[in-house]
Amino acid sequence: MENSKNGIKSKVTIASLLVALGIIYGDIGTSPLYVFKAIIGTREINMMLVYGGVSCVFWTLVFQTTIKYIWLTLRADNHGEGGIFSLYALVRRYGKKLVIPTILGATTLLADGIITPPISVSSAIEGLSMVKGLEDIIIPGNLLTIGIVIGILSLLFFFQRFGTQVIGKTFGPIMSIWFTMLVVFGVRQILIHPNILSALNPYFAYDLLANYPNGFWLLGAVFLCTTGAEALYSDLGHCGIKNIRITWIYVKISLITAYLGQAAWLMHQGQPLLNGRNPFFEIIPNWFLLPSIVIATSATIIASQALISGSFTLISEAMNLNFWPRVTVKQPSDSKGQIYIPSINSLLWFGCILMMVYFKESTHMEAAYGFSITVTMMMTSVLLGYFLYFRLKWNKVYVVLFLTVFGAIEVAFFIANVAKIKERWMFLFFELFIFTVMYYVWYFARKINNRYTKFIELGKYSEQLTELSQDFSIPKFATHLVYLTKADRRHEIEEKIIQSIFSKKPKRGDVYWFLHINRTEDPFTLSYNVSELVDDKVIKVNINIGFRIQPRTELYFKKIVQDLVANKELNLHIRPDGSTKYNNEPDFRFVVFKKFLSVENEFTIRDGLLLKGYFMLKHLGLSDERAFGLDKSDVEVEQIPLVYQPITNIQLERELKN
Amino acid sequence: MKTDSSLLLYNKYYSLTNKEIEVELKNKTKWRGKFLGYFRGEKNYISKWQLVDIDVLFGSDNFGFLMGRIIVHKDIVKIFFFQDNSIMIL
Repeated sequence: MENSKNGIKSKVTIASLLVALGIIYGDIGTSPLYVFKAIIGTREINMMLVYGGVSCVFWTLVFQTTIKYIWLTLRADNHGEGGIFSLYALVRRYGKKLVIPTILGATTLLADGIITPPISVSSAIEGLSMVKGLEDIIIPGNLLTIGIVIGILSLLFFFQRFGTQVIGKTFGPIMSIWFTMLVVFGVRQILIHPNILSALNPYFAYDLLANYPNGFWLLGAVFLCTTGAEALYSDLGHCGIKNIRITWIYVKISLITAYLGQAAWLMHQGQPLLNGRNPFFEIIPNWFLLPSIVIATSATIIASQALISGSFTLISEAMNLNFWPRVTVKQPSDSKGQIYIPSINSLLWFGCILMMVYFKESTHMEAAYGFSITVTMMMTSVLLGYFLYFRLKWNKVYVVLFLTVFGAIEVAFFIANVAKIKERWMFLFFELFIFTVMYYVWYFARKINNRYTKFIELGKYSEQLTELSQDFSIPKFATHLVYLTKADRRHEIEEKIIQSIFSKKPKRGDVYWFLHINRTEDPFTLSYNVSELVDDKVIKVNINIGFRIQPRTELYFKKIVQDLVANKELNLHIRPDGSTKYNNEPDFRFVVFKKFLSVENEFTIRDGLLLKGYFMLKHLGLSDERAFGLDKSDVEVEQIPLVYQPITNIQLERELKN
Repeated sequence: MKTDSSLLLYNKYYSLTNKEIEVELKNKTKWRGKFLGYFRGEKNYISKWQLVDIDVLFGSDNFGFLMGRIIVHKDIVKIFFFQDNSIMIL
């Protein structure tokens, strides 16, 4: 039996299906709130537009959601985990340039975390304008509406620190009510205008795109029906593939019914224009309008919650794959895998508030929303192409066919969305620019860092290390002296570590440990191996940690020492853990380097900018000791200048006295 | 896939007990000594080597100036290994 991240079995039960409904369908499930309103807009309501619109929505859900995501992309699970970084971890060995689509995809996905909460919640709240007596009070874009949305979002972000364990249990039942509501009110309208079912014929979609004036550009609105598809893949680890696929049958039926119902209402309602009305709320009988708005608001909060949690997971993975500066990660509840990142929570909250204040109403956010998701989807397609070819060993012809078909669909959606961003585009691009720069600078500056790290043979210094360890004329620095190293091979080590031990005041220890943390492609690996270069004196340890796991280096290290002592592999003349007869505390000392850019560097412009950016971001992020889970009292921080490109050919001449 | 000559050299070099070598570069210069350290590359496993005299232990002197010389891997044409009198042509 396969276990997923939260211990939720991939086995299908009513409970697991409810969890799937509650966690992953919030985004795509709340699309009926604004899709048809966006398609019709201020255009004249006629058969070509309505039938074509619903046909486009149906076939988009078939191709983009069902075939691409439910059938194909969900197969790209990395030990049960999904999402763009999991996919990248699966395929990165097949192409160095794959880092670019990964960065772009992750950037837009994070932007999605900022756009989804305001667009979803404001769509629901704007529905209050339909309630009798509130028509003149709730007006999309007015101060009160913006205030209510900001209030709801602020509360949502505030409660993140307490976790979603308790409230999360209500998500499934609420979403079940929501989808059932979509079916009931959709069917009611279809029965009034049953001919709408013929709109499922793809000819209507073709007719709209080819023959309707500026029909192609309607794709920007149509695309909104599938914006939550990427979330299905990102949340794969929470629910398991079987639960997602089974619940999708119900979700898809209810979504299609809701869209057909709205289309049917448009055909029989008798007015030529929408005049600001939202077809979603129009199909709901007056007596149920207020409860429906409450349910819709709950559903949009659930959708927002899913995106917020998804953003935390995204950043956590990005940190572990070296795409994002290290920041504090907390576990707000006992639920394994549930994380809370305070800095990202504040960033998302601030972004959402700015979005709301800047765009004012949901309609204005649609283009930005569509734009972000199309970019994510295109990037996922690129990575998926590699996955299908290299991991699933698909025939090249099929992979090319896949990329051509979905590439064409997504490029069409992308063009239609870009064209919609006629105004207010600065905000979106500014936001995307910041995220892209952060990912890019962090990733590539680390590459430069690695490029200028000199490695040496550890074995060459074994004799000196043994000698130093037994030289009682030098004061003892620690019983267990531990260095973190990037060197993954048994015999190698960074030169700066040897310099730290031997230069100036040599550091005498009873045992020298060199710890290498290896981030694995498997999300939840936690294992280690030990190589003793000098018996009980110089020991190299490789700890393999999956990219979903937060490193607790000190804890792991103590456990490793405990294991070695218990197995009698570590025999010291002192107490093996380094404790003394005066106290029981083990004497561990971790040495961490705090690097700074030396003035003695000559860089290319690109490298210089990247490294400066890197050190600025590093300053904002967590210190290395906290990032690696080291207890501050056991850590010695050593400042070392980083000389990447030393100035060469110094022409310094001495002036001789005559 | 093209063989990574730097990895071949790395594996051969670190299996030796006598580390003394003679390196011939593209510009016909020859240097004798040992590899003390190396820098990882992005395309190849190693991009640069630090070559020092055989009796040197640390990569820089008391003032922090680099000992020996940095050799770009792709500039190496030939290496002679004194342990087994073998030659590696890159």
